[in-house]
Amino acid sequence: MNSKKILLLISFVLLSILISGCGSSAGISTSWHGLATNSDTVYLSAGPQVYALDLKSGSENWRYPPKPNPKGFYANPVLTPDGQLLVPGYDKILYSLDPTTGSLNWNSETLGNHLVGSPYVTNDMIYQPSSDGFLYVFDMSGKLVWKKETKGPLWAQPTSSPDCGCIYVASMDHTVYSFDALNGTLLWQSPELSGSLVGTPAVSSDGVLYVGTFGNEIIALNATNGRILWRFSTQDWVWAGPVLANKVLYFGDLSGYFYALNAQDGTSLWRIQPQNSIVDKPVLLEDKIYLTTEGDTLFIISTDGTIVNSRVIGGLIYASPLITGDTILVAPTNFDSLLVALNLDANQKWTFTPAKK
Amino acid sequence: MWNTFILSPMVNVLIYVYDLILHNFGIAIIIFTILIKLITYPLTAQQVRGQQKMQGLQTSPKYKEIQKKYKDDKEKFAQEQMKLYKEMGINPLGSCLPLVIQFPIMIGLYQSISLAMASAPLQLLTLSRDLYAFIPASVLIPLNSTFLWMNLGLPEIASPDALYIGGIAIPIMTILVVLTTFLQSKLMTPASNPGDQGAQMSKQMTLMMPIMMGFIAYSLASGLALYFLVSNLLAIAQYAVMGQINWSNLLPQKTASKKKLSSKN
Repeated sequence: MNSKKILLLISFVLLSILISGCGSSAGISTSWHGLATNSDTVYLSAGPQVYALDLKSGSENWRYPPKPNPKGFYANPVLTPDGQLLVPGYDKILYSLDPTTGSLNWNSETLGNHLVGSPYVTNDMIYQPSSDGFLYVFDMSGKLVWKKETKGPLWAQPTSSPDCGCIYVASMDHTVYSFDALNGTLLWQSPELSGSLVGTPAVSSDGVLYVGTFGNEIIALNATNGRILWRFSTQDWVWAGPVLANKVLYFGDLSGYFYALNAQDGTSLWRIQPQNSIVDKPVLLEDKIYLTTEGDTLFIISTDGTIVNSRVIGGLIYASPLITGDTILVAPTNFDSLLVALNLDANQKWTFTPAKK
Repeated sequence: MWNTFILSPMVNVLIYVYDLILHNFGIAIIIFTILIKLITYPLTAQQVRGQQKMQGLQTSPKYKEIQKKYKDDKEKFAQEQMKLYKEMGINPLGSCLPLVIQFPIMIGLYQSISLAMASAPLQLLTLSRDLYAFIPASVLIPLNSTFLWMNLGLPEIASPDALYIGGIAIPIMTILVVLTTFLQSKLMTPASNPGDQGAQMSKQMTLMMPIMMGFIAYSLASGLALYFLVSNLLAIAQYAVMGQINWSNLLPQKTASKKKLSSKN
C-alpha cells in the first residue's frame, strides 16, 4: 500500500470518528448535573463520573467509576434508608454504590433506554423510570420485581403519598398514571393532558396531585381517580413540577416567569420574572425561596414575591439548588467549577473543580 | 447563523412534515429526504454535466497529447491543462462546487434529525427554542420515533425490537446502508482506464465509503441510517433518470478483461 492510499484510509477513519462524535452524546453534555446530600457528604452526578465531596471543605472523597463513563450520569442520585447510593446512568444501567467508599454494591441489567429521571425509594422498593417508557421496580438488592409500560418516555422521578399504596408516574405521553406499588396494577390514569410531563408531581396531604406540562399549564388532579380539578395557564412550558408549601404552589416556566398559586383553586397570588428560563424547581427554607435560572444567578425570594438577594454564580444553571444545614449547593453547567457552595446569605464557601487523574 | 438559516428551518420542516403525515418520524424522514433531493436536483444535474465535460476532456486526443508531452514536468502540464480547460469552456470546479454546496445541507439534515429526536433534556430544551410558532410542539412532543423494528432515536441494535439471531442483534439497516453505498459508488463511477491514477482512487473510495457509512449507521441513531439508505436509493434513481448509471461497473473487472481477450482470440 503506497503512502497516498494510507493517507486516504486514515482520512476516512478520522472523518468517520469526527461525524460519529458530532452526533453521539459522548463528549457533550446532554443534561445538567444531579445532587444529593447527607449530613457530611454531597454526591454530585456530573457527566462521566459521580463524585463524593466533603460538605465542609468541598474536598473529594471518591469518584465513580475510576475511569470516566462516556455515557455519563446526570440525574439526582438517591440515598436509601438502608445505606445505598442509587445512581441512574445514561448507559441505561442503575448503579448501587456504597456512599462511604464509592464501591459498587450491584448494578441492574441494561434497561431499554437512558435513565434520565431519579429513582424513588419507598417501602424497600426502588422505582426507576426509563426513557423507554417503562417503570422498572427493583427490590433493595437490585432484583427486578415488576415493570410497567407507559406510552412515552419517563423522565420524571415518580412519587407517592402516605397510605395510598400507590406510585404516581408522570409520563411524556401527556398522562399521569397511578400504579399499585406492590404489583404494578394500574389503579387509574388521567385524561390526556395538554403536553408532556417531565417534572415530579407535587402531592398534597388532602389528596391532590399538581403537575406542570409542556402545554403551558399547571394542572391539579384528584389523587384517587386522576380527574382534573383545575388548570392554570402559564406563559410557556413548565419543565419541573411545582413545589407545595403552606397551600401555595411555587414554580417557574421557560419564559422565565416565576409563579405563586393558591393550591386550593389555582388562582394566582403573584408572578415575577427574575431573569432567563426557569427549568428546575425552587427550594423553600423557612420563609425564603431559593431559585436558580438558566442565566447564571441564584435568587433568594421572599414568599410575597420580593427578590431579597441574588448572587451571580456563572455558567448556565438548570438544576435546582440543594440546601443542607447552612449550605446552599449550586451545580452550574458549562462552568469551570462543577459545584459551588454558598452560605445562606449567598456568600461563597468553596467551589469544586475535579483534579485530573 | 448556522442555526438560524440551516438547522432551525430544517428541523421545523421535518416536524411539520411529521405533523402533516401519519405522525411517524420514519415516514417524515423519508419524505423530507425526498424533498431535499428534489430541491438539490439542479445542483446534482450541474455536477453530472461538469463530470461529463471533464470526462470528455480527459479522453480527448489533445489532453492525452499534453499528458504525454509533459509527463516529466508537472508544472507545465498543469499550465497546459488550464489552457485546455479555458479553450473547451470547462470550469474545473464546476463539478465540485455543487457537491460543496450540498455538503452543508447534508450536515444540516443530519443535525436536524438528531435534534428533532431530542432524546436528552438539553436537546429537548434546545428544540423547544428552535420550533416556530406554527408548530404545535406541546401536542407533538414526544415524537413517535418507532419505525418498523427500529427506535429511530437509538442505534439499531439497541432498539427493543431489533432482530436477534442466535442471541446476536443483526444490524439490518447498517447492512443495507453498506450495500447501497457500495452500489451507488460502483454505479456512479464513470468508466476509466485501469491504469489511470484517478481510477485507482475511485476504486479505493468505492471500498472505503461503504465502510465509513456503515460505521456511522451502526453507531449513531437509526434515524440517520434510514436517511442514508433513502438518500442512497434516491441518488441511484436520480442518476438512472439522467442516464448516468454505469451498469458495466457491476461486472468483475478481471472477467470483463478475460472476455475481451478471449473474443479477440
